[in-house]
Amino acid sequence: MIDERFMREVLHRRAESISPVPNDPLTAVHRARTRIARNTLIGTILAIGALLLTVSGFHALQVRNTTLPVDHTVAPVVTPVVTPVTGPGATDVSVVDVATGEQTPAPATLRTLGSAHEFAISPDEHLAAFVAFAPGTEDMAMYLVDLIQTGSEPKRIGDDVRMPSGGGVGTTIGGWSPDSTRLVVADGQGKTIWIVDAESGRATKVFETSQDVRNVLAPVFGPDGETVLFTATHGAGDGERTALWTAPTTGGSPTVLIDYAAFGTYSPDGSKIAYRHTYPGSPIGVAELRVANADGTGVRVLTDDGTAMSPFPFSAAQTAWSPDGAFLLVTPPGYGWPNTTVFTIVDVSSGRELRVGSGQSATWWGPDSVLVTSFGCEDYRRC
Amino acid sequence: MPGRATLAELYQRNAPDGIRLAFLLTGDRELAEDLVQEAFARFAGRFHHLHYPDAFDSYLRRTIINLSYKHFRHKRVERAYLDRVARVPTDSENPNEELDEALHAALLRLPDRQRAALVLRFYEDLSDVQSAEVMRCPAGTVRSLVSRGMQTLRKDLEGADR
Repeated sequence: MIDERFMREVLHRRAESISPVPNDPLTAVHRARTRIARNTLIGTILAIGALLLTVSGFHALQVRNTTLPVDHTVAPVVTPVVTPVTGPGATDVSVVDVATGEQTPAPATLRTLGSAHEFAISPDEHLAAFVAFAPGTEDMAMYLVDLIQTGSEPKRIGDDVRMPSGGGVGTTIGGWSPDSTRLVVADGQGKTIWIVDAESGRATKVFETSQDVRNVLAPVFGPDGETVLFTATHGAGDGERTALWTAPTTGGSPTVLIDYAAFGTYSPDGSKIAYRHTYPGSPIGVAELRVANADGTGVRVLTDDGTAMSPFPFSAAQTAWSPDGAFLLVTPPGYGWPNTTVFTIVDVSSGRELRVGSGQSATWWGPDSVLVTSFGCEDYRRC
Repeated sequence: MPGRATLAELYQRNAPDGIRLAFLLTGDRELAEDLVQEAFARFAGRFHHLHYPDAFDSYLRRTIINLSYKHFRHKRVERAYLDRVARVPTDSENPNEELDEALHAALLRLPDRQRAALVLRFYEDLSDVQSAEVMRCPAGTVRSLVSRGMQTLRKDLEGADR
């Protein structure tokens, strides 16, 4: 009779039958590095091929974009950028019609920007900010591209904002000011929040971490553009947890708005905040999506299937509100890079979920479509 | 932020359990080691960017499960492995060896997700909710997978003595 006890006994006997298991870390790390070197070599060969294809297929890209329905484009006018910022394209960016679920490639302006990710589209839909490798280096940098101006090349911004060397997943372009003139970002080390002026590209410090407020992440502007809402850790030992904090853009002490919370975003009218509920020991959040009033009261649970958030990329944990504030665009928990998944639209009033489109993170919701980012290879730092 | 262990320390701590898990999922010791190496290779490049390394064992378990899925997508390879497993001579003193191998072989014939659900439940001793987190599906689905998997195993091994 095969019962549960029998299964346990057999599986443990089978597992033990292969003991002793080698655990020489040096051998393991060496083998791991060998694999990486091999994968990098293969990736380089594929990348050269992709570059050749990109060059030869540029005309085709232009033709394809002219066939995109106007309603599905991110910007009114789309002009492909010939020179990728970081070499061969790795990131796949697409636009999904929220009414039909139809998924089409994003305008070439966004798609040909190499390893670009963490897109943030300005409220006036004029500019796109993103993170990508600086040309010829393994360092990440921030860029802006004009979505309207013909022939616009990406412009590097925020040189003072320290990005992780060799790439990284901690950098977050949080969001735009309501007037589309400034960006708020967290640096790659989670130590500083900066405001970057879109015109000059110059960065100004808003807040630096201390013993009491650590690991800043995912900053967004408040509805008035005068405050910043961000995620940071506080407490110690078993009581260490994340919270949503607010701080004035002019500097000054931050205060906790909602404890046990992360990745907050304001509704378009500024009256509500959507966020991930967190627990001590689960600092990046769990599936539980909550909505509260902008002052932190009236907390309501929207979705919760008990699973943990994927840590890659962080932008997958953020939500985007529909322009009318009735729905939220959510990357399902437990997914995110390197797995492609179907993302979800959640009805804020009922919590009902509708699954449309696929990608790895979906972070922007325009008038009738959403922007989805997928990384074109398993380790996007090496694409 | 939790303290950061080195990759080598994480390997020492997690690899043996990872290899056992991969062995149960694949039935092949060498392949199991390869899968775990592959899993570590995926982490090695970005290890320093893991913000929550304390959750590493969970990431690793999930990666091993995914890699085993990927492996068994290649049906031809799967059949070759099963043939190879069947040919491996046994020199163990385990009196239950024959039945254990029969059950393991039957386990390997199950669909990927049923096999993963059974191994997570009966070897890793994970709850339905914990298994659901690893397999990225609702807890109810895990219960269903376990139930169907057990049913198939019973049918498959009908007549075998304990």
